[in-house]
Formats: sequence, structure tokens, C-alpha cells
Amino acid sequence: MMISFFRYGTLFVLTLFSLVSLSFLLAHLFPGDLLTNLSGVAPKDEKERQLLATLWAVDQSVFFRFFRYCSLIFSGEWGVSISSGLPLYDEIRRTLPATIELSFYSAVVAVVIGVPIGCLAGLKSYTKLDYTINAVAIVNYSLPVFWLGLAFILVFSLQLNWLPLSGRISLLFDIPTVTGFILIDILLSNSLNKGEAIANAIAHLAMPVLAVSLISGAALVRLLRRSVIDILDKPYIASARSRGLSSSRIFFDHVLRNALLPILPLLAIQITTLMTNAIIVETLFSWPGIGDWLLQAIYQGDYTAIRMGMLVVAALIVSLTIFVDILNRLVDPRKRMPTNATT
Amino acid sequence: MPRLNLYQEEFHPSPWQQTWLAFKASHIALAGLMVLASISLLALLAPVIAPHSPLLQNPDVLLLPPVWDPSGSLTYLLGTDALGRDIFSRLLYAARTTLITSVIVVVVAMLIGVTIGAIAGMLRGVSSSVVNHLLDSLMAIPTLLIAIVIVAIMGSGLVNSMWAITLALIPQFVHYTRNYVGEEMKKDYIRASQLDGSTKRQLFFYSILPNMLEMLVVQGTLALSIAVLDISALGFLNLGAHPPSVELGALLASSIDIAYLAPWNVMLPGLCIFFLVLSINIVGDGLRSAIRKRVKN
Repeated sequence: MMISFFRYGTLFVLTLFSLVSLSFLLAHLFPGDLLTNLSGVAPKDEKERQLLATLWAVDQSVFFRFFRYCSLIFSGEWGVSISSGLPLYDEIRRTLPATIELSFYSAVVAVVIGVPIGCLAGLKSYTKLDYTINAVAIVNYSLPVFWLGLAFILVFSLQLNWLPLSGRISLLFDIPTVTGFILIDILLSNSLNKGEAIANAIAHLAMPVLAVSLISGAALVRLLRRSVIDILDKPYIASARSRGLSSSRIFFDHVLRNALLPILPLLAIQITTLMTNAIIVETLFSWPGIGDWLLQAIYQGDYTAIRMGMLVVAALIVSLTIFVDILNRLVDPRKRMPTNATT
Repeated sequence: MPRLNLYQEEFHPSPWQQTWLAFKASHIALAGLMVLASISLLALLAPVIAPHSPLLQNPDVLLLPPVWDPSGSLTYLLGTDALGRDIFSRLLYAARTTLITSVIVVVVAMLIGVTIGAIAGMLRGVSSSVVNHLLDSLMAIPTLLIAIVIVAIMGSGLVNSMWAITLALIPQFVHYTRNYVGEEMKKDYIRASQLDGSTKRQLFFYSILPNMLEMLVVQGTLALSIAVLDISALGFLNLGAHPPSVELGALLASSIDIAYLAPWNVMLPGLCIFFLVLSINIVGDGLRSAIRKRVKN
């Protein structure tokens, strides 16, 4: 067990290291002045240039520059955005929680919808119910997320006027930013009408979360259905049945746990799709998250923002993936034996 | 499995024929194949079928609704956009761009991915560990992010977004091939041809590749549906195809401003992407279950 934790630790450190080197390389690949690409400031006079050049070690050798780059990144000195001039650390600190919040709720909704329906389809396999669920799932799975979001906007906010069009919360509520997660912030604030504020925030969340979670939920339904059908074919289910166990006992003790196991590693891949969809949906609903921010950075040619935004999102997703891998190893006793990457 | 036929001699279908027979048995899969074939045909023959040029503007008929609307006109089957361009022709050309680029992207990604995967799967020892860890970490970076970075370096445009999506699709082929080759290398028939003195290259091309070709096709259809969605997503975010060339996602994005006035402008390209992806997914699913059925028998 300790060995495999050590392996994952080295994997994590190596991956982070390669991501940091990649972002360092990007600063050299982007068009424009190297110093501006690293710091985000276009120096006005020779004195300022000199100051920045010593900080980012631009005139030193590549190795020393890379070393300085790493130490600056780990101390939170990420430079400033080229277009807005604000420190990138604060910008990302502001936008990242919004994205995490959106993705987290979408993941929760997708699991809550996907797992029971997937199990149901697997248990009733090759019946009318199963075919209906499968058909709905494959339709949902094939929907382009940006189009689904647009259709939601057209129907729910423009035609029916039920849900707000964009943003995270109505401007009438004055919620101080503490954690950056809107629902937690509302609970922490001493505003008079917390209930209304939460209802308003949830109304803002509903459409983007639904758009993302419908697609991920459909993928989950398909994976789980297949897995349940495979497990039901196994001899140990037949033996459990022959021993006269009740069907609910068979399902919860023998089927569900074994069916969820092969899904865990696939979930790691689903996380990246979910984040990608969240980034696209953000631009549609003007959700002030990191995806929206990154796209604005691209349109404006803000290279420091692109570089750091990419690094942070990639690091986040890599850590999540490795976390799911470790979880998978903890849950699955067959995988607790120390193995190496070759097998 | 020999099939008895009263009138002719015994008929032994080859594995591919067996797969086709199992595929044909599913009506939904067959319908999906037909839809996909007709969309592809319409898209490929766009220059012949399209009634108007996709770029021709007609200032007399702006925002004409589709033909089923009382005020629609037969000259413009699906209506016109804000500049008086025929939506039907634009859709055909856009579908053509999206479909052709996706197919190219998938084929290139498959060739590169299978090559790297085969090499990684046959490696042993430390080098294998390093390569596999590196590939695993690459898998984790989302497609769109890679695409954004590539577009940021090279500038937006259809060709650049194609490169981006190719790069993003490679890891899944690598992953699949690597696992498959790793599994097969332990089996006896590989050991037998190793004893016969075959090199690693011969092992891969003559023993392993024929076995994995079918599942590779299934993987390819999955990748194709992802590629269509990604190319149109990039087009939608203004990072893909630029105005003179028409592409489904870009077409949708360009008509967002008039979504409330003329919703068919947004809905039709979306429906087109949807049906394309849906039919690809159905064909992929049908193919996979056909192969599963054949292996079971």
C-alpha cells in the first residue's frame, strides 16, 4: 500500500513538473517579448526593465531562469495579466471557485440521476424500459452542450421567463466574497434574507448545471448499464440466487458494489469531459468562471493569462484524476497489491 | 459457424461477414447507418445539391422563415439568415467541412496513436514505466484546453483547430492500443511466433493487429463523434473556422444574435450536429454489440 502511494506521489510530482516546464516553454513560444510574456508588464523605461529582468532572470541562462520561474510560481508570484494589469493569482483565485462550484454540482446531479437509472436499465436489460432509457441516454449523450444551453435559454428564460439568463446571482443581493463559492458565501454572510438569496443563486445555477449534468449523466447511465449487465452474467450471482438470497440483498451486496468498481477509472475520463463542457457552458451563461476568463484572454491575446490559466486548470484536473486512481485502488482489494506501470 | 442452405452449398461467413450479419439484425443500428450515410452523401455532394452559393447574399429576403412556415418560400427551403444567405446551402457546405475535417482528424490521430501505443505496449522495464506515466498524465488534460493553447500559439483557424483536436484524440488510441498489446503479449500464440523467430514488428503486424482491427474501428467511431463535437465547439467559440469557410459550430455562433428573432437560424445547425453525432454513436454502438455477439457465439 505504501509503495503504491509513493508511486502516485512521484507520478503527481513528475506530472506537475512537466506541466510547469510546459508553461515555461509556452512563454518562449508565444509571440512577443519574452519579458512581457513572463511578467505581463511592458516596461516603460530602462530602469523598470532592469528591475523586471532581474526578478524573472531573463538575462541569465535558461536553467537558472527556469529555476527562478518555478520558485516564483510556488510562492504565488504569477505576474500580472497583460490586458487588465491585475495580478494573475488574484484573478484565478476569483474565477476558479466559480468553475469548481459549477462542475461539482453538475457532477453531483449527474451521479444522482445517472447511477439509479443506469442500475435500473441494467437490471431490466433487454426490456422496453431498458430500450427507452438507452434511447434517451444516447440522445442526451449526442447533444452538443452549447446547443443544449442555447435551447434552455430560448425556452426557459426567453419564452417562459422562469429562470434568469446569466450570471451567478442577482445584483440586488450584496454578498461579500469569502470563499468564492456562492452558496457557501451566502450562508457565511450576515445578509437579512438568506433564503431568498439562496433561491436566487439556485435559479441562476439551474440551467448551466442541468446542461452539463444531462450529458455527463447520460454517459454514466450507459457505462453503468453495461457494467450491471456484465456482473449479472457472473457465476457468483447465480450462486447467490441459488442460495435463496432476496433480490434486494443480491443487488446491494453483490451487484452494485461490483458494478461500480470498473466504472471508477472511467470516471476519471468523465471528469475531463465534464470540465470541458463546464468551460463551454460558462461562456453561454456569462458564468464568471475560469473558462470564460480564459476565452476572453485568448480573444485579447493575453498570453500570461492563457499560460497560467492553462497551468492551473491542468494541475487541478491531473490532481483529480490521480485522486480517483488512488480511490480506485483503495476501494478495489484486487488492486491493493503493489504493481508497476508495465502490468 | 456453418449456415445450412437448402439450395446451395454450405456457407462459411468470414468474421467480417458475421459481424455484418449481427449488425444487420439490429434495426436501430441499420437506421443509424442509413442516416449517417445519407448525411455524408448530402454533405459530400454539397456543390451539386446546394441550390444557392453559401456566400451569396440576397438583400431582398432577409430572415425568411423555413418553407413550412406560412410566409416561407420554396426558393429558400430552410429560410435565410440575417444577410439573406440560403440556410440550406450553408448547412450542406458546413456539414461537409465539419465531416471531412473530423474524418481526417480521426484517421491521423489513429495512425499516430496506434503507433505510439504499440511501441509503449511492447516496452519492458523502466522505459515502459516512464512512457506510460507520461502518457497517463497527458490523458488528463482536457481537449479544449490543449486546443486553446495551440490556437493561442498559432492563431485561430480551421487547420490549427484540426491540429489541436488531433493532438487531443491521440491519447485515447494510445491508451487502448497499449493495454491491448500488453495483454496479447502474454498469450501463447504470441509466444509461439516469438519462438519461430519473428521480430516485434512482425509480431505486431501479423499477429496482434488483425485481432484488434475491429475494436479499433469501434474506437474510431467513438473518436469521430468526439471530433465532430469538438470541432463544432471550437467553431462555436470563434477559435475554429473563420467566416468565408462555413462550419456547423461557427454557423450556430454567428446566428446567436438573432436567436430570439429567428430561432430556426440557431436550431437548424444544432439539429444537424446532433443528428450527425447521434447517427455516429448509434453505428458505433451497433458495431460494438455486433462484435460482442459474434465473440460470444
